[in-house]
Amino acid sequence: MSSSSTTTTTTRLLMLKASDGVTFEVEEAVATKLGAINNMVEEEGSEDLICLPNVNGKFLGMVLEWCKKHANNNTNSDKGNDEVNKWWDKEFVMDLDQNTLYHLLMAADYLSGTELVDLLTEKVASMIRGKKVEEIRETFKIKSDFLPGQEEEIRKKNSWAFE
Amino acid sequence: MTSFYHLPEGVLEVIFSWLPADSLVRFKCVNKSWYSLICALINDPSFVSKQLHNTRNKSSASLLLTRTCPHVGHNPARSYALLTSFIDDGDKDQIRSVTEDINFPLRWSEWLLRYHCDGIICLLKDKFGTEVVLCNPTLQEFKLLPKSKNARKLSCIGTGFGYDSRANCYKFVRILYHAKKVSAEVCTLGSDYWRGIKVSDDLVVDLAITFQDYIYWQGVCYWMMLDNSLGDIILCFDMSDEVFHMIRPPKVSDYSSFGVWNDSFALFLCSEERENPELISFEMWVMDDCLDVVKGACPLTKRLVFGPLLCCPVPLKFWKNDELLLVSGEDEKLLSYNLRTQKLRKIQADGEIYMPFCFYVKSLVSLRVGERSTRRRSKRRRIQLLQ
Repeated sequence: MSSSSTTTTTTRLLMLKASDGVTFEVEEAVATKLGAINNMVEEEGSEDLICLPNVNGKFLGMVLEWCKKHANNNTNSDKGNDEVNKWWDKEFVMDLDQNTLYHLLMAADYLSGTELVDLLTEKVASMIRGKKVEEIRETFKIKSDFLPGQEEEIRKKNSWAFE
Repeated sequence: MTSFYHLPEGVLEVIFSWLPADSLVRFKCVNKSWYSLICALINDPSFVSKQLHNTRNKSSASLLLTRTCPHVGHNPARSYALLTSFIDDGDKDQIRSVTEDINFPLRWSEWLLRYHCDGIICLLKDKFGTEVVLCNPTLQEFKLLPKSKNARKLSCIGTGFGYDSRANCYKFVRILYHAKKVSAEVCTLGSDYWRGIKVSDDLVVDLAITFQDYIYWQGVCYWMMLDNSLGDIILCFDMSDEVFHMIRPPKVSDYSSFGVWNDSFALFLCSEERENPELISFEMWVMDDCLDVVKGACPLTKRLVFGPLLCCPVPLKFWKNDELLLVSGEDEKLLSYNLRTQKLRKIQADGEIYMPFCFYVKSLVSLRVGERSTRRRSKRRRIQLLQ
């Protein structure tokens, strides 16, 4: 799999190699939307092949798809762009299942894609806001490790203690 | 299968910053590590302001109001409620709403619920602000402000509450009036005294009626007052500069109200139709510039004309692009007016809702400013207890 982005000759291309060996050829302007890659480019300079042993090809592909969209849209500076980006982001996270969301979030965090982390964490938050504690434990596969009585104490502390 | 359980703390923290304050407080009960993380975040001012910023932009409604529930027994139970969202399913006559109860530690009949800023609600014993209680229902904190020494000596014509972004603190202001001169005193949350404010000598007014309407918006308190010679005047107080300004409304109207439009202060001027006084037509004037940019000229621009409408509704705020929230002048119930279709619809809720006080956002902003050291100690003790 490789991306098709060879419209301008002046743009430098980077090769990103995922943990499973899949490589992506991307414009520098797209890849540097990710803080981690930006740092590597600035530090190493001449290196064109970047290995990312913590990210699977499937999720790296999705992260780069997001970067490409946002890098492209950032170059045109007309007014409706913000709206277009918002709409595209909404579509991007709309049907993500929990497993994909988790891996994408881990990838975005590892690659320091701050804006993408914001988008994905907001999606996770929308799935859990307003839920009961028991539902959260189920969603996050968390078991309560409180001693008997401790949970009750915290719950009680959260209700009005007015004298 | 992997699960969210394995998310690093840093990512969890960003997720938490998108959650409403009350959900976060509740989620302390999930397990020990969530408990410790959430307790630490609630005590971290930069997280508190990030969470407020993230969630404030999300919630469109959140209106604090009174609700009467048809109850068992003779007296319907009266309570405070928070209207959290509107559900517009295309009905011609009504818009449904979602409400939830909100509890205060003070007896309802004794206090006036007056102001709100960043999740802190301000309750007054009387309209002169002689006794003031601040309260954050989400954190279940409350704080009584000290009594002013001027409480009985000078007449108080208005009070307000808001945030000073420069000094990063919350302030309660009392406007005092004596011999046609305006003066003021401020009490900052965290300090336990009232401080006099020097007011420019030009600010001479001849007040006939004080305090007809009030709003706090983005660092500025606005009061509508009636002056004997000037007519309606808007008195503004900048929370950071601690400076008063006076604005004359752009034209005379039968009544007016303050609201918010597109993140700007808005003045609604409401006038009876000449042919039929029962019909009211509306003009919306908006503050485009910052207050201090303007000297002399009226800083308001006419943005909208709409109506006419029956039953003297008072405009509040747009809850959607075309939908303006209003309060009926007859029974204080909530209405929504669509600018495009020109339809006026009722807002329906469980029980009877009326008397909206203010817009409200749940926050983690603590009232225990200056008490942080004791808080941290007790937090550490609590964590020890859990281990």
